[in-house]
Amino acid sequence: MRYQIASGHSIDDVLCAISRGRVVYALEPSDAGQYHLVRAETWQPGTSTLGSFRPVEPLKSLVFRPREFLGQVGGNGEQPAMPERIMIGVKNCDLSALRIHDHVMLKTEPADPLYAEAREKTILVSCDCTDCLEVCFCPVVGEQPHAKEGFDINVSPTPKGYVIETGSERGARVLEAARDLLQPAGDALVQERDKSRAAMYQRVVDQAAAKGLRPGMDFKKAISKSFESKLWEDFAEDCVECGACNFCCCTCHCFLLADGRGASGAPERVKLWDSCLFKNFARVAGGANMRPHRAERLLNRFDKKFNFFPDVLKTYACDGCGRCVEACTGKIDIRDVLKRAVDEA
Amino acid sequence: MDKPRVAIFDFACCEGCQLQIVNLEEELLDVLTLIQPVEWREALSDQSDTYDIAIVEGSITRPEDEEKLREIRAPAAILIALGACATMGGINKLKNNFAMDEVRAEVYGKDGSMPHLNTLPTRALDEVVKVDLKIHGCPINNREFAYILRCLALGKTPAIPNYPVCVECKMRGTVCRYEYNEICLGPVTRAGCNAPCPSAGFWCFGCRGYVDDPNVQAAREVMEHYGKTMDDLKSRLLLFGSGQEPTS
Repeated sequence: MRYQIASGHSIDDVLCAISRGRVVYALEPSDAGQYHLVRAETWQPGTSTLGSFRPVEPLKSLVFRPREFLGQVGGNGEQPAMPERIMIGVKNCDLSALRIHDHVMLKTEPADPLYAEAREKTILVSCDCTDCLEVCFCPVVGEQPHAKEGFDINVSPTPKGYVIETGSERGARVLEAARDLLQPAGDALVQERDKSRAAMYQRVVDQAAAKGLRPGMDFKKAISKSFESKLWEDFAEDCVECGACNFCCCTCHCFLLADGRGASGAPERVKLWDSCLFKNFARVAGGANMRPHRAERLLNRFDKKFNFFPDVLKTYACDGCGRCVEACTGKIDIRDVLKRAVDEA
Repeated sequence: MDKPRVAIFDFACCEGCQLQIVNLEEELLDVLTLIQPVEWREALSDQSDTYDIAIVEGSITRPEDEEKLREIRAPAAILIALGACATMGGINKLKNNFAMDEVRAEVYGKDGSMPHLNTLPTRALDEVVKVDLKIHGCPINNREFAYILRCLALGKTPAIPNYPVCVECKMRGTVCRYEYNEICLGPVTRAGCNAPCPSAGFWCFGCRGYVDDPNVQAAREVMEHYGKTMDDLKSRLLLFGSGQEPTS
């Protein structure tokens, strides 16, 4: 169902209404011209924003947290129940990435109860991109800078007003709280939205073209034929194994179960983000390491994203958010890697 | 089961790492439920020649040190090098950039040639005897020390990070020191400290030594990207990295 805001009301009124009684996660602009994903508690007009492109922090950090408590020996290992949360301003790259996490954490037995709880408790309000970063390239990997599915509520800013759309039963229930502020969207406004979306899509396509990439390129074929290529050695030369590309990636989901000591002193087991670029990532019992060389580890990252996931889920495990390009200490650009793989295939 | 007997010894160093153990305070009592210290000059008046674990701080700089270290090693089932001086020679290795008579004259003036002031190029413990485990850092992180001792008492292999400090900066959300036009050793230095220096506004000094397989080429690219040279990087490496081999 599509709505527009009734006259006399603002988008802030709507967002305040639907977020009341829930912990709010929202975007805030940073001094560096980016957005940060922050826990805002309540929607704060003037500070909280829908954001015109994705934030520095990936959405996954709300549902697959960097450090999660699993259990404890003795003592009170009970964790407080997660409160109802609402994340406002999700961009499509992050939203779409949850298909990967859902597959890994929920659809593959046994399901991860922590992830299931976080997904269940987090209402997702997405928002179309109205601008992009230089590193954005989502159309190249089959995505687009607006959400098609997976959201509870989607907000589309257009020059003539907002289109607000529900994407789930839950979203419809949540939007009930703003019923008095909304009216069904007029066709003209929806057409305006589609025009804005098409223009934004074309803009990201054009900027990706400047890096030699275009929608429909067959990265699966390119990566599956690249195993003997020197390209991995060449790019791995710049890798310092800082793990930033994995941590900021909207789809990366590998984790490490680690034993440690909790705040109370009792032994505890935690789940931590892990990185496939780390030398010890593929080390197994007995000390053998299946990927001792950096180039093998870099290839593995691309193989999994562009070859393995198309096999198991018919999708690339990359949404073109470009965070890895920004975060890489060694300045490895995923677009350059893909371009070279395609050129060599 | 008897608690393992632990003896702590020191060579050329500031003994700050031993002090870090004492600084565990309340947690130290917890650690003492697992081990039995039998020699520890900074905290105990007892001495003993029978122990299971020898923890050795400091680096080997005098002819007599070498003999003493071999004596310490002999009865120990496990020998742990404690802190940068022991694991890689530490700041003491700055000396190795000069001739030994020059060093003696610099420190002791005209008395430098007296026989009891004889000195050798600095060596880390593993350049003299077999070292089973290294606890990195200058000073050590005492939480990591407690963690490692617990692992040994439980018969587990302690997980000591084999990735660079950059990882911990990223995890903490610390802005890269290179973005502040500084030279930081994080990209080649072993993590495990939780990056306290970059997070407090200082570049990484490299006190935990290199990761197993530092990507020197990548470090070069990072330097180039930020308009620095490898000589800039090497000047930073002098402090802890003089004559340092990749650690393990």
